[in-house]
Amino acid sequence: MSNLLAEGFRRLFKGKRFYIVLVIIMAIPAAACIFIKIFEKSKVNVGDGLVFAMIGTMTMFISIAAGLFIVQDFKNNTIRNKIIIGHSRTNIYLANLIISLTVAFIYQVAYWLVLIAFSKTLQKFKSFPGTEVFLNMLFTIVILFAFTSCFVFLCTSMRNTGGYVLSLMLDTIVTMIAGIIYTFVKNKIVRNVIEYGLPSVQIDGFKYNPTNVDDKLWLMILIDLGICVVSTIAGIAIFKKADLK
Amino acid sequence: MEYILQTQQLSKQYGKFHALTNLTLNVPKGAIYGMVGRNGAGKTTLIRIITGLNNPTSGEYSLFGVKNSDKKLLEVKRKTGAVVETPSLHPDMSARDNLIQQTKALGISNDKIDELLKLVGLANTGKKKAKDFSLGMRQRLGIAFSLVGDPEFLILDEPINGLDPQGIIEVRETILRLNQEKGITILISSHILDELARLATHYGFIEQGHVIKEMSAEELEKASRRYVRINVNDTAALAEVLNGMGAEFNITSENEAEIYTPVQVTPLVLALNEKNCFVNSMSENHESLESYFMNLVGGAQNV
Repeated sequence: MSNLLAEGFRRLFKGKRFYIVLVIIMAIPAAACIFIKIFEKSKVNVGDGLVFAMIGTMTMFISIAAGLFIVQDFKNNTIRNKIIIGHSRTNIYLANLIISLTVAFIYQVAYWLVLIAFSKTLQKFKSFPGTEVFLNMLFTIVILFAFTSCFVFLCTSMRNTGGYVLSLMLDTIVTMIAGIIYTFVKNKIVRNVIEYGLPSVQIDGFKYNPTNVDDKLWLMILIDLGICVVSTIAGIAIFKKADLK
Repeated sequence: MEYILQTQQLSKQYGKFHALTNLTLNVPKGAIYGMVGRNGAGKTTLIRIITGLNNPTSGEYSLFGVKNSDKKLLEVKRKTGAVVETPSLHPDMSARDNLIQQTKALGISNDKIDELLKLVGLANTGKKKAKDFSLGMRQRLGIAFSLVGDPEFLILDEPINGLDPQGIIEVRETILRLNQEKGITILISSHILDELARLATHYGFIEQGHVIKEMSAEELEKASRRYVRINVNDTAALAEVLNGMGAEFNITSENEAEIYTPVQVTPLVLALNEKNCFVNSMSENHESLESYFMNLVGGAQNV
């Protein structure tokens, strides 16, 4: 496993894509803070509004870096090189998952660090630091991990650009379908499943209200961790049976 | 005899298509085992199964004496290197960086990389990315990739496909050196049968998903027919004379024919002379690997 991680991280850090996406992620909060400071001099608490506003877009950025990282391994057939020398498919899947989760973590933390630095310098933070914000930050990381596990599942199971595109649009697709169901289905159980069980909808509770901690926070965290575990087990099972080119 | 690879009744089905049917094959240690078969015969499917890329539908195989159902198979696979169809390379990396990737995956040092690059003639490629390499360079880098872990068993699927004559000679010499100097057992599939005949010490003839014959190069030499190649100015007259003599022959071109039945030269030349047919040259030859294979599978095309 350690060899696979060494190989994977080297490939990730050798490529330009990881850094390009990272720079864009860091530029967004910086540019937003500077822009608001220039045109709205009296505006304060910009950081509070931005701290969780990026979660949906962040999943897209993670998909660009991590999803393509996996899909290209299949596209270039370099996955063969690991299988031929005796690495198990389970280990290959888990190594890709660990690398992808690390990408998600680095990107989100980089975003927050830049946001905090610029917000503290140019504007004032009202709610940060605070217990509620820290709890929602933890929740955000877990939500992103759930998304990332699904990306790894989709990209490894489909092994083509389709898997990557589906990953890229996963948040949008889930949000759209959940919205339609929520509008037309009044059944309480269905509504609860959508509200607490879908990471795309879980975000809504604190996206623009960073101090709002949901009563069912720990249940939702457990559900997200469950998504990580189930998608990983299913992904490994499919990958083990797959015939590769 | 010690075998590196043995398959028993190996079968593989893709939907309704039977790619392999009860395939049994034995690759002796130290051999260069040439797999001969037409397109779709099952050569690449077999290679994909023994490299772990595909799962067999039924049957089993053993690598270094370890069966595919044994968990120890993953350990012995470290002693294997392979190039399956097109080389699997990182297109945005240099040749050196590509090989470093494989040392990372194997958990070994990258001390031997320069030696490997020199061996395959890519020592001077510098920072040039693999995506900018010619087909031959990519093929050679693929071979270098497969050699990173010092394998004892090398699997090469069409290693000289698309190479220029110089590239073919280089790859051939590399394969022979690896076998003779390092004792690496090599399983090789190629459509270029003349080239395969220069390398292989053993052959496996595959047709419609199963091995129809296995033999050593010595056995092939004994089994293949001798024939006389004759160059004349009039093959129609030659055919008439040979038919009259009851000889088995094949007109191969406008001026050439191969005679498989032993014939006495003087009566033949005299008979041809009477029909104003002049002999330009005659030579005794052995049946080629290609001819042998064609006869074996019934004169099929597209080899």
